[in-house]
Amino acid sequence: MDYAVAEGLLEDWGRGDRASLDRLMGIVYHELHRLAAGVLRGESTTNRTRPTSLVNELYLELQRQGRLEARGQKHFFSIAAFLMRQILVSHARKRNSLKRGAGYRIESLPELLEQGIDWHEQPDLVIALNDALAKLEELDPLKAAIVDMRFFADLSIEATAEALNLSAMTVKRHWAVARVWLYEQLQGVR
Amino acid sequence: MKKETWRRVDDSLGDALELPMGERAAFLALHLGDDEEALAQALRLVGGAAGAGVGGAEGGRVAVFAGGTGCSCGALYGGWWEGFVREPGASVNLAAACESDSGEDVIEVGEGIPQDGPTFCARSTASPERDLGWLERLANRGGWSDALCMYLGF
Repeated sequence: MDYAVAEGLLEDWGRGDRASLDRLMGIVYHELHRLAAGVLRGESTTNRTRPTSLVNELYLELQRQGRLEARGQKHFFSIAAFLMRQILVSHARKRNSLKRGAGYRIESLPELLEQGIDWHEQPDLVIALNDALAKLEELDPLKAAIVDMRFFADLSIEATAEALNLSAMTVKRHWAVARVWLYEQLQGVR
Repeated sequence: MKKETWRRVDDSLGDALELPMGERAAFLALHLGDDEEALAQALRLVGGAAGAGVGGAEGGRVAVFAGGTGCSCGALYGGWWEGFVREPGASVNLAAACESDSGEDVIEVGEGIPQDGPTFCARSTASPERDLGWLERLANRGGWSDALCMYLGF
Protein backbone atom coordinates (compact mmCIF):
# COMPACT_ATOMS: atom_id res chain seq x y z
CA MET A 1 0.00 0.00 0.00
CA ASP A 2 1.28 3.45 -0.85
CA TYR A 3 0.79 5.23 2.46
CA ALA A 4 1.61 8.70 1.18
CA VAL A 5 -0.88 8.44 -1.67
CA ALA A 6 -3.52 7.02 0.67
CA GLU A 7 -3.02 9.90 3.11
CA GLY A 8 -3.37 12.40 0.28
CA LEU A 9 -6.55 10.81 -1.01
CA LEU A 10 -7.99 10.72 2.48
CA GLU A 11 -7.35 14.42 2.86
CA ASP A 12 -8.91 15.13 -0.53
CA TRP A 13 -11.95 13.12 0.40
CA GLY A 14 -12.19 14.93 3.72
CA ARG A 15 -12.33 18.16 1.75
CA GLY A 16 -15.28 16.84 -0.19
CA ASP A 17 -13.67 15.35 -3.30
CA ARG A 18 -15.90 12.30 -3.72
CA ALA A 19 -13.84 10.80 -6.54
CA SER A 20 -10.95 10.36 -4.10
CA LEU A 21 -12.89 7.68 -2.25
CA ASP A 22 -12.85 5.33 -5.24
CA ARG A 23 -9.10 5.66 -5.66
CA LEU A 24 -8.58 5.33 -1.90
CA MET A 25 -10.60 2.11 -1.77
CA GLY A 26 -8.43 0.68 -4.52
CA ILE A 27 -5.32 1.36 -2.48
CA VAL A 28 -6.54 0.23 0.95
CA TYR A 29 -8.72 -2.64 -0.25
CA HIS A 30 -6.45 -5.43 0.95
CA GLU A 31 -6.11 -3.89 4.42
CA LEU A 32 -9.87 -3.46 4.66
CA HIS A 33 -10.40 -7.04 3.50
CA ARG A 34 -8.05 -8.25 6.22
CA LEU A 35 -9.89 -6.12 8.77
CA ALA A 36 -13.22 -7.57 7.60
CA ALA A 37 -11.85 -11.11 7.84
CA GLY A 38 -10.97 -10.41 11.48
CA VAL A 39 -14.40 -8.99 12.22
CA LEU A 40 -16.02 -12.08 10.68
CA ARG A 41 -13.70 -14.69 12.21
CA GLY A 42 -16.46 -16.22 14.34
CA GLU A 43 -18.91 -16.77 11.50
CA SER A 44 -20.09 -20.32 10.92
CA THR A 45 -19.53 -21.77 7.47
CA THR A 46 -23.20 -21.61 6.56
CA ASN A 47 -24.97 -18.32 5.86
CA ARG A 48 -21.85 -16.42 6.60
CA THR A 49 -21.07 -12.93 5.48
CA ARG A 50 -17.93 -12.87 3.42
CA PRO A 51 -15.22 -10.27 3.93
CA THR A 52 -15.61 -9.08 0.36
CA SER A 53 -19.32 -8.42 0.91
CA LEU A 54 -18.60 -6.53 4.11
CA VAL A 55 -15.98 -4.36 2.42
CA ASN A 56 -18.46 -3.64 -0.37
CA GLU A 57 -21.09 -2.62 2.17
CA LEU A 58 -18.53 -0.45 3.90
CA TYR A 59 -17.81 1.25 0.59
CA LEU A 60 -21.50 1.96 0.08
CA GLU A 61 -21.75 3.34 3.61
CA LEU A 62 -18.75 5.58 3.05
CA GLN A 63 -20.27 6.79 -0.21
CA ARG A 64 -23.52 7.50 1.60
CA GLN A 65 -21.67 9.56 4.21
CA GLY A 66 -20.13 11.62 1.41
CA ARG A 67 -17.06 12.74 3.33
CA LEU A 68 -15.16 11.72 6.39
CA GLU A 69 -12.79 13.80 8.41
CA ALA A 70 -10.33 11.11 9.34
CA ARG A 71 -7.16 12.14 11.13
CA GLY A 72 -4.87 10.11 8.93
CA GLN A 73 -5.21 6.63 7.56
CA LYS A 74 -4.87 4.97 10.98
CA HIS A 75 -7.92 6.81 12.15
CA PHE A 76 -9.58 5.81 8.89
CA PHE A 77 -9.11 2.12 9.71
CA SER A 78 -10.45 2.71 13.20
CA ILE A 79 -13.56 4.29 11.69
CA ALA A 80 -13.79 1.45 9.19
CA ALA A 81 -13.86 -1.12 12.02
CA PHE A 82 -16.58 0.88 13.76
CA LEU A 83 -18.67 1.11 10.58
CA MET A 84 -18.28 -2.62 9.87
CA ARG A 85 -19.68 -3.32 13.33
CA GLN A 86 -22.59 -0.96 12.70
CA ILE A 87 -23.37 -2.70 9.40
CA LEU A 88 -23.38 -6.14 11.01
CA VAL A 89 -25.40 -4.95 13.99
CA SER A 90 -27.96 -3.53 11.60
CA HIS A 91 -28.25 -6.96 9.95
CA ALA A 92 -28.58 -8.64 13.35
CA ARG A 93 -31.37 -6.29 14.38
CA LYS A 94 -33.29 -7.16 11.23
CA ARG A 95 -32.95 -10.87 11.97
CA ASN A 96 -33.78 -10.68 15.63
CA SER A 97 -37.16 -9.94 17.10
CA LEU A 98 -35.39 -8.61 20.20
CA LYS A 99 -34.80 -4.93 19.80
CA ARG A 100 -32.34 -4.80 22.65
CA GLY A 101 -29.88 -7.28 23.97
CA ALA A 102 -30.66 -6.55 27.62
CA GLY A 103 -30.34 -9.56 29.86
CA TYR A 104 -27.83 -11.39 27.71
CA ARG A 105 -25.33 -13.17 29.90
CA ILE A 106 -21.96 -14.59 29.00
CA GLU A 107 -19.90 -16.94 31.10
CA SER A 108 -16.44 -16.27 29.76
CA LEU A 109 -15.24 -13.22 27.90
CA PRO A 110 -11.87 -14.77 26.94
CA GLU A 111 -13.70 -17.60 25.17
CA LEU A 112 -15.80 -15.13 23.26
CA LEU A 113 -12.73 -13.10 22.36
CA GLU A 114 -10.99 -16.15 21.03
CA GLN A 115 -13.89 -17.54 19.04
CA GLY A 116 -15.25 -14.26 17.73
CA ILE A 117 -18.91 -13.58 17.09
CA ASP A 118 -21.14 -15.48 14.77
CA TRP A 119 -22.98 -12.46 13.45
CA HIS A 120 -25.72 -14.60 11.89
CA GLU A 121 -26.31 -17.12 14.64
CA GLN A 122 -25.92 -14.86 17.69
CA PRO A 123 -27.93 -11.73 16.95
CA ASP A 124 -28.91 -11.30 20.61
CA LEU A 125 -25.25 -11.29 21.61
CA VAL A 126 -24.46 -8.87 18.80
CA ILE A 127 -27.11 -6.47 20.00
CA ALA A 128 -26.13 -6.79 23.66
CA LEU A 129 -22.50 -6.10 22.80
CA ASN A 130 -23.41 -3.18 20.63
CA ASP A 131 -25.59 -1.66 23.34
CA ALA A 132 -22.75 -2.06 25.83
CA LEU A 133 -20.31 -0.48 23.38
CA ALA A 134 -22.68 2.43 22.79
CA LYS A 135 -22.60 3.14 26.55
CA LEU A 136 -18.83 2.86 26.59
CA GLU A 137 -18.53 5.22 23.64
CA GLU A 138 -20.40 7.83 25.65
CA LEU A 139 -18.22 7.35 28.71
CA ASP A 140 -14.87 6.67 27.12
CA PRO A 141 -14.58 6.84 23.31
CA LEU A 142 -10.95 5.71 23.28
CA LYS A 143 -11.73 2.47 25.07
CA ALA A 144 -14.64 1.84 22.71
CA ALA A 145 -12.30 2.31 19.72
CA ILE A 146 -9.83 -0.13 21.29
CA VAL A 147 -12.61 -2.69 21.75
CA ASP A 148 -13.59 -2.27 18.11
CA MET A 149 -10.07 -3.02 17.00
CA ARG A 150 -9.11 -5.67 19.57
CA PHE A 151 -12.38 -7.50 19.94
CA PHE A 152 -14.29 -7.01 16.74
CA ALA A 153 -11.44 -6.73 14.25
CA ASP A 154 -9.12 -9.09 16.15
CA LEU A 155 -6.12 -6.79 15.84
CA SER A 156 -3.12 -7.37 18.09
CA ILE A 157 -2.13 -4.98 20.88
CA GLU A 158 0.70 -3.72 18.71
CA ALA A 159 -1.46 -3.21 15.61
CA THR A 160 -4.09 -1.43 17.68
CA ALA A 161 -1.45 0.79 19.24
CA GLU A 162 -0.10 1.68 15.82
CA ALA A 163 -3.55 2.36 14.41
CA LEU A 164 -4.50 4.65 17.28
CA ASN A 165 -1.06 6.21 17.68
CA LEU A 166 -0.71 5.01 21.27
CA SER A 167 1.92 2.98 23.08
CA ALA A 168 1.31 -0.75 23.46
CA MET A 169 1.38 -0.24 27.23
CA THR A 170 -1.42 2.32 27.06
CA VAL A 171 -3.53 0.05 24.86
CA LYS A 172 -3.04 -2.86 27.28
CA ARG A 173 -4.18 -0.75 30.20
CA HIS A 174 -7.29 0.53 28.43
CA TRP A 175 -8.05 -2.94 27.07
CA ALA A 176 -7.94 -4.47 30.55
CA VAL A 177 -10.38 -1.91 31.94
CA ALA A 178 -12.62 -2.19 28.87
CA ARG A 179 -12.78 -5.97 29.25
CA VAL A 180 -13.96 -5.87 32.87
CA TRP A 181 -16.46 -3.18 31.93
CA LEU A 182 -17.80 -5.26 29.02
CA TYR A 183 -17.98 -8.39 31.15
CA GLU A 184 -19.97 -6.57 33.80
CA GLN A 185 -22.35 -5.24 31.16
CA LEU A 186 -22.92 -8.74 29.81
CA GLN A 187 -23.95 -10.28 33.09
CA GLY A 188 -27.62 -9.59 32.55
CA VAL A 189 -27.63 -6.88 35.20
CA ARG A 190 -28.11 -3.27 34.25
CA MET B 1 -22.50 6.55 35.60
CA LYS B 2 -21.38 10.15 35.41
CA LYS B 3 -18.27 10.84 33.34
CA GLU B 4 -16.46 12.32 36.30
CA THR B 5 -17.15 9.20 38.35
CA TRP B 6 -15.99 7.03 35.46
CA ARG B 7 -12.75 8.98 35.18
CA ARG B 8 -11.99 8.31 38.82
CA VAL B 9 -12.96 4.66 38.49
CA ASP B 10 -10.88 4.28 35.34
CA ASP B 11 -7.76 5.85 36.85
CA SER B 12 -7.75 3.59 39.88
CA LEU B 13 -9.08 0.49 38.14
CA GLY B 14 -6.30 0.58 35.55
CA ASP B 15 -3.72 0.43 38.31
CA ALA B 16 -5.68 -2.07 40.40
CA LEU B 17 -5.94 -4.55 37.52
CA GLU B 18 -2.17 -4.66 37.30
CA LEU B 19 -1.93 -5.83 40.90
CA PRO B 20 -2.25 -9.37 42.17
CA MET B 21 -5.93 -10.15 42.75
CA GLY B 22 -5.60 -10.20 46.52
CA GLU B 23 -4.36 -6.61 46.64
CA ARG B 24 -6.91 -4.99 44.38
CA ALA B 25 -9.77 -4.30 46.77
CA ALA B 26 -7.49 -2.69 49.36
CA PHE B 27 -5.87 -0.56 46.67
CA LEU B 28 -9.26 0.66 45.44
CA ALA B 29 -10.44 1.38 48.97
CA LEU B 30 -7.30 3.43 49.54
CA HIS B 31 -7.69 5.48 46.38
CA LEU B 32 -11.46 5.79 46.11
CA GLY B 33 -12.43 5.76 49.77
CA ASP B 34 -13.65 9.36 49.56
CA ASP B 35 -16.13 8.57 46.79
CA GLU B 36 -18.67 5.95 47.71
CA GLU B 37 -20.18 5.61 44.25
CA ALA B 38 -16.84 5.35 42.48
CA LEU B 39 -15.58 2.79 44.97
CA ALA B 40 -18.71 0.65 44.63
CA GLN B 41 -18.48 0.73 40.83
CA ALA B 42 -14.78 -0.08 40.86
CA LEU B 43 -15.20 -2.97 43.29
CA ARG B 44 -18.02 -4.43 41.21
CA LEU B 45 -15.94 -4.19 38.05
CA VAL B 46 -12.82 -5.62 39.61
CA GLY B 47 -14.91 -8.47 40.99
CA GLY B 48 -15.55 -9.63 37.41
CA ALA B 49 -11.91 -9.47 36.37
CA ALA B 50 -11.44 -13.24 36.35
CA GLY B 51 -14.46 -13.76 34.09
CA ALA B 52 -13.16 -11.02 31.85
CA GLY B 53 -9.82 -12.74 31.60
CA VAL B 54 -7.92 -10.00 33.41
CA GLY B 55 -6.18 -12.24 35.88
CA GLY B 56 -3.26 -10.08 36.81
CA ALA B 57 0.15 -11.27 37.88
CA GLU B 58 0.77 -13.36 40.92
CA GLY B 59 4.21 -13.74 42.43
CA GLY B 60 7.07 -13.51 39.98
CA ARG B 61 9.26 -11.11 41.90
CA VAL B 62 11.34 -8.75 39.89
CA ALA B 63 13.47 -5.75 40.63
CA VAL B 64 12.74 -2.68 38.58
CA PHE B 65 15.16 0.11 37.84
CA ALA B 66 15.05 3.50 36.29
CA GLY B 67 17.86 5.96 35.99
CA GLY B 68 18.02 9.47 34.74
CA THR B 69 19.08 12.96 35.66
CA GLY B 70 16.43 14.62 37.78
CA CYS B 71 15.80 11.89 40.32
CA SER B 72 17.44 12.80 43.60
CA CYS B 73 19.49 10.38 45.67
CA GLY B 74 17.96 9.17 48.87
CA ALA B 75 14.41 10.01 47.89
CA LEU B 76 11.87 7.41 48.89
CA TYR B 77 8.86 6.85 46.70
CA GLY B 78 6.10 4.99 48.47
CA GLY B 79 2.80 3.43 47.69
CA TRP B 80 1.86 -0.16 47.14
CA TRP B 81 5.48 -0.74 46.16
CA GLU B 82 8.62 0.65 47.77
CA GLY B 83 11.53 2.29 46.09
CA PHE B 84 14.62 4.36 46.74
CA VAL B 85 16.85 6.41 44.51
CA ARG B 86 20.49 5.44 44.90
CA GLU B 87 23.69 6.99 43.71
CA PRO B 88 25.73 5.41 40.91
CA GLY B 89 27.98 2.66 42.18
CA ALA B 90 25.95 1.87 45.29
CA SER B 91 25.37 -1.72 46.16
CA VAL B 92 21.81 -2.81 46.06
CA ASN B 93 20.70 -5.86 47.88
CA LEU B 94 18.04 -7.17 45.60
CA ALA B 95 16.99 -9.71 48.16
CA ALA B 96 16.27 -6.97 50.67
CA ALA B 97 14.73 -4.73 48.08
CA CYS B 98 12.48 -7.52 46.92
CA GLU B 99 11.86 -9.14 50.27
CA SER B 100 13.43 -12.36 49.18
CA ASP B 101 14.26 -15.04 51.71
CA SER B 102 17.72 -15.23 50.28
CA GLY B 103 20.25 -12.56 51.17
CA GLU B 104 22.65 -13.23 48.37
CA ASP B 105 21.19 -11.40 45.40
CA VAL B 106 23.36 -8.31 45.52
CA ILE B 107 24.26 -6.26 42.50
CA GLU B 108 26.02 -2.99 41.94
CA VAL B 109 23.88 -0.17 40.70
CA GLY B 110 25.08 0.48 37.22
CA GLU B 111 25.62 -3.15 36.39
CA GLY B 112 23.71 -3.34 33.16
CA ILE B 113 21.55 -0.42 34.16
CA PRO B 114 21.84 3.32 33.52
CA GLN B 115 25.08 4.69 34.95
CA ASP B 116 24.93 8.40 34.23
CA GLY B 117 22.68 9.41 37.09
CA PRO B 118 21.09 8.17 40.28
CA THR B 119 19.13 5.00 39.90
CA PHE B 120 15.70 4.24 41.19
CA CYS B 121 15.25 0.74 42.55
CA ALA B 122 11.98 -0.79 43.60
CA ARG B 123 10.71 -4.09 44.74
CA SER B 124 7.85 -5.71 42.96
CA THR B 125 5.65 -8.72 43.35
CA ALA B 126 3.87 -8.38 40.05
CA SER B 127 4.66 -8.20 36.37
CA PRO B 128 7.61 -6.49 34.72
CA GLU B 129 5.21 -4.87 32.27
CA ARG B 130 3.17 -3.37 35.08
CA ASP B 131 6.24 -2.02 36.80
CA LEU B 132 7.87 -0.68 33.70
CA GLY B 133 4.67 1.15 32.85
CA TRP B 134 4.51 2.54 36.34
CA LEU B 135 8.16 3.56 36.28
CA GLU B 136 7.75 5.33 32.98
CA ARG B 137 4.88 7.35 34.38
CA LEU B 138 6.92 8.12 37.50
CA ALA B 139 9.88 9.20 35.39
CA ASN B 140 7.70 11.43 33.25
CA ARG B 141 6.07 13.04 36.26
CA GLY B 142 9.40 13.49 38.01
CA GLY B 143 11.05 15.02 34.99
CA TRP B 144 13.81 12.43 34.82
CA SER B 145 14.93 13.81 31.53
CA ASP B 146 16.83 10.85 30.15
CA ALA B 147 15.19 8.10 32.15
CA LEU B 148 15.70 4.60 30.94
CA CYS B 149 13.53 2.03 32.67
CA MET B 150 14.31 -1.64 32.88
CA TYR B 151 13.94 -4.61 35.20
CA LEU B 152 15.92 -7.61 36.28
CA GLY B 153 14.20 -10.84 37.13
CA PHE B 154 15.58 -13.14 39.76
